[in-house]
Amino acid sequence: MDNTLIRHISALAAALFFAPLLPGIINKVKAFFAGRKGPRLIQLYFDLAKLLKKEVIVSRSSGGIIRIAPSVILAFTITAAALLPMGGAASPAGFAGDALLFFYLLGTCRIFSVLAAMDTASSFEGMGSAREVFFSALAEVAVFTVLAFLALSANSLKLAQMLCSQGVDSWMNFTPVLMTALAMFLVLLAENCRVPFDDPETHLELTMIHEAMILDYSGTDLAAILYASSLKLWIFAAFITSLLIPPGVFAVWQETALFFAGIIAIAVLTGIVESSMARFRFLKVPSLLIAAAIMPVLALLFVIFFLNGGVQ
Amino acid sequence: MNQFNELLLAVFLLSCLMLAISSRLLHCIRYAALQGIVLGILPLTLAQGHFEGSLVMALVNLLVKGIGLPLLICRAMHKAGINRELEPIAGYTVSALTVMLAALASFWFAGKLTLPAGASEAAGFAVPVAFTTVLTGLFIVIARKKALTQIIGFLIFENGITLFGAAVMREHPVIVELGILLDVLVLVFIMGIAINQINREFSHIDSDRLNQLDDISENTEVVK
Amino acid sequence: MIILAILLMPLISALAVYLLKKDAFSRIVPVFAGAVNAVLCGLLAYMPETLHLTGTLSLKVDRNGFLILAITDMLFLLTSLHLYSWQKEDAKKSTGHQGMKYSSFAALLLLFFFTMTLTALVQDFGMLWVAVEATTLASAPLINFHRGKGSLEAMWKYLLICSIGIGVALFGTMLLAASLNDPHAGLGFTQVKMLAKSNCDIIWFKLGFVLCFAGYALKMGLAPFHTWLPDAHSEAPAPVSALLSGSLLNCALLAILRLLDTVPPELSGFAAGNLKFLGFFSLAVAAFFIIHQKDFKRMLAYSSVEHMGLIILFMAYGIANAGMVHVMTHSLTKMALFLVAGNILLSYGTRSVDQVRGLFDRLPRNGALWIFGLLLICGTPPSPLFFTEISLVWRAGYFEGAVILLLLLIIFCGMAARMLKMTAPAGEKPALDRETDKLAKVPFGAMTLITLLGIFIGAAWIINGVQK
Repeated sequence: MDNTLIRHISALAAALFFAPLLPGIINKVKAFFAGRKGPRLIQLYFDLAKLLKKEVIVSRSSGGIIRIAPSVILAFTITAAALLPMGGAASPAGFAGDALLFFYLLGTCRIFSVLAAMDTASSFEGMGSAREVFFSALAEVAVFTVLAFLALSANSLKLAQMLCSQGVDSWMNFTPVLMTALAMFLVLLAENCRVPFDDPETHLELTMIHEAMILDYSGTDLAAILYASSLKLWIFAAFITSLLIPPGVFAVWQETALFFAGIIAIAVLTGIVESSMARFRFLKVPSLLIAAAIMPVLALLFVIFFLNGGVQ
Repeated sequence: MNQFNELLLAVFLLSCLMLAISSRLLHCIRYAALQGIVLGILPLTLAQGHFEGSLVMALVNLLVKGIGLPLLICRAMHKAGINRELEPIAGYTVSALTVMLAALASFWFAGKLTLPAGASEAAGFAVPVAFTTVLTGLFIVIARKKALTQIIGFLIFENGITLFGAAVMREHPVIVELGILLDVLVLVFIMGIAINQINREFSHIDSDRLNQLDDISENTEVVK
Repeated sequence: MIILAILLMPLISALAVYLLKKDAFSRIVPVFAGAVNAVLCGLLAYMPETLHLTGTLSLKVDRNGFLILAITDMLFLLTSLHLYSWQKEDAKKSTGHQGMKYSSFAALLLLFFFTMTLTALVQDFGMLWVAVEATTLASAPLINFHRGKGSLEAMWKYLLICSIGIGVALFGTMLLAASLNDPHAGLGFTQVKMLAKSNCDIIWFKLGFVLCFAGYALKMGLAPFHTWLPDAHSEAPAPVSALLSGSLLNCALLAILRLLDTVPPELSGFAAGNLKFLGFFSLAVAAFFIIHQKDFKRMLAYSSVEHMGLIILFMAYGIANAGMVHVMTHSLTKMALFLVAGNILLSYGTRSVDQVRGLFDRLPRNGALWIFGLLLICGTPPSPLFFTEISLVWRAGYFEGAVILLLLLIIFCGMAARMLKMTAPAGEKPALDRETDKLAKVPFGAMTLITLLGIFIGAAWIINGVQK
């Protein structure tokens, strides 16, 4: 028990400390494919340090929400991270049904960022938030089918069991889990505003989505938002990695090593996707997200068919 | 081996799904080619050790379905100068949902069947996937306007049938199998030529605008 | 040896025609190939033989196969005879139009002949599928001989719809194979029949039967799968229409007969139900579309749908012998009618019923054959169709027989109204088109043959009745 507690806390600490590395990795990969040198891996740390030294300026036309939003977003994201099993260790804060809390925490973060964006009364931010809500509403469908797959195959709504009991019969459920992980990866791309759903590089007013929403933050507030979004990327990557690692097969140190390697691999994969794909047309996005929502359903079909022994 | 089969079948199923949401013809062709390659490998792994068919046949299948046919369609695509399906009859989201429904129906139906003697155990998983693929192919033929996409739909349909054949029959006479492949190859070839001609005559390849012939209007003048 | 020769003859001549690219040569070779094959087919009747391919695969003629083969050979010979003179006229009238090269056309025609011959000879469901699909492939470019917009559209629809339909049949074939519970069994007709009786999974067999039947029924032009047929048969050049209607539909019928032959007794009621449904549906659809029809070639095409429906009903009611007589008569009559329709089209340049007037003045011989053909195809005695249809109505019982009779009556009225209208005198007496009118020899021969056959059957009927 203690052992698990220590493992989880150290993994959480690692997550909090290393999360800003992920955008750096993605940028390095993109730079590699573009044949550039690219920014340093730890560039985001420097940015954060710089921002923390600066003062916060808030638009005169805004109400109060934009002041509290960064702290709420940061707090809720960290809480969500604390609920997630990490490095093969279940969270001590976990309880039956924590999966729902986990996704609702992330959803609340989004609500606050959208409200704050609209609070500034900037037309671009309104446009960005409308698109953000549109995409995330569609991604939510995929999230729910993933949840349904995990809950039904683990017969539980506890994150620790949903993510870590998938491979109980060694590699039995390998293919369905892979299909679900693929769906979750698409959700990761959509939720973290990466290509092909959104382009984090663009700062053209008409095409920005997420970037448009954070135009009005400055100083420590912007640092909190940037840090929270990198942590969110880590959370999703951790979710997929825990899903893919079968428990009980590897030793503890192997499991931990695999966990971190998996997170880095997902960051690299994201970079590869970003450098090899163009952003989708706006109207094309729903069909991809619906496809992502369908994948866990197909996976579930595989599992059920398996349990029934297939065609006799 | 079972894991590997299942993975290949999942690739098959997912490529159906991706086909339903792709508007770029090149991507559609790639998914069809992917299915063709899987079809070349599957008969070897499905038989689980006691493979009685010929390796040569698997190779021919792989070459024709995975490479030959996609290349033929690609050529027709370049000649017609068309690379997107812009206004499908059924939208992409609806198409994706249809594939899901097809999968649900196929798995439900396959669960009610009993496998004939002699088919390998892994074949049980191939049957519903084959049903889904057949239905997807038919759906794409119906739900798309461009003649080229309809050919791709036909190819998917044919892939599903071949998958089913690989799953339940261990013995094909080689002549028959070669004959089937030859027929499909010639068919795609002729359809490619036909698309080229349609493109020249009508300056489009939308099959829904091929509507001169019907029983109501009086289009009976013959150009001499 | 004969089987090998009968298959190689059209193949080699197709190759020769294609390589030499001489129009005169291309005209004579199909006639020659048709004649040789007709003789060989006759020989085959006296010296039945089996050609063994690898493994369990073999080629041979059985009763049904022989009948279809004989009809195909006869039709091909007659059509190519007609083609010989038709092509000159057609080339004269369509100067300046970019059509298909005649040598390619003849080569494809011979290839089409080869695929139909193969369909009649194969003894295995897999090979049967390959052969039937090959008939589609060989005949599709033939439809597009004149390269018009309409014919291109018809060809595309024909290719796509038939390939999908035949694909469904392939799926059905695989399901049939799966139902047999014997991984080592081939798909030979006799073997399938034997295994289906003793050891088969009924659900799989049923599924396979339905899909196979639907697929081949599509190829045969049975409603509701008939949509491609009127387009293809009306847009094709006349001799091709004649072959499509007269012998290609028979090949699909043969496939259905092979299938029906394997059905185990416990499913025969189910199979007959399927057949009846499609048969009546075809009759009804044909009746509906014939009374509306303004295009005389389309009208003939719908008449083919009607007759295919009737033939399927013969099989459903278990009077296959009368059905075979019907098949033969329909093939010859429909061929003659399509050839005559082609002559009318050639002379008037339109397929619209309303624009053809004064047929007797312009094409007297063709006009006479047109009316005579109408009577023959609608089953007026002494057409053999009269006798076959009477026996069908008898067998079908009161209610179903009455429905058949009613639909046949509607079809007769519809066809007669259109076809007679075309012979009505025009306001201004049209000039005699002597050149085109001369093309009436082959239809005349075919109709004479049918009439003689009808008289023979009628006489046999009466003698039989008197003896009883």
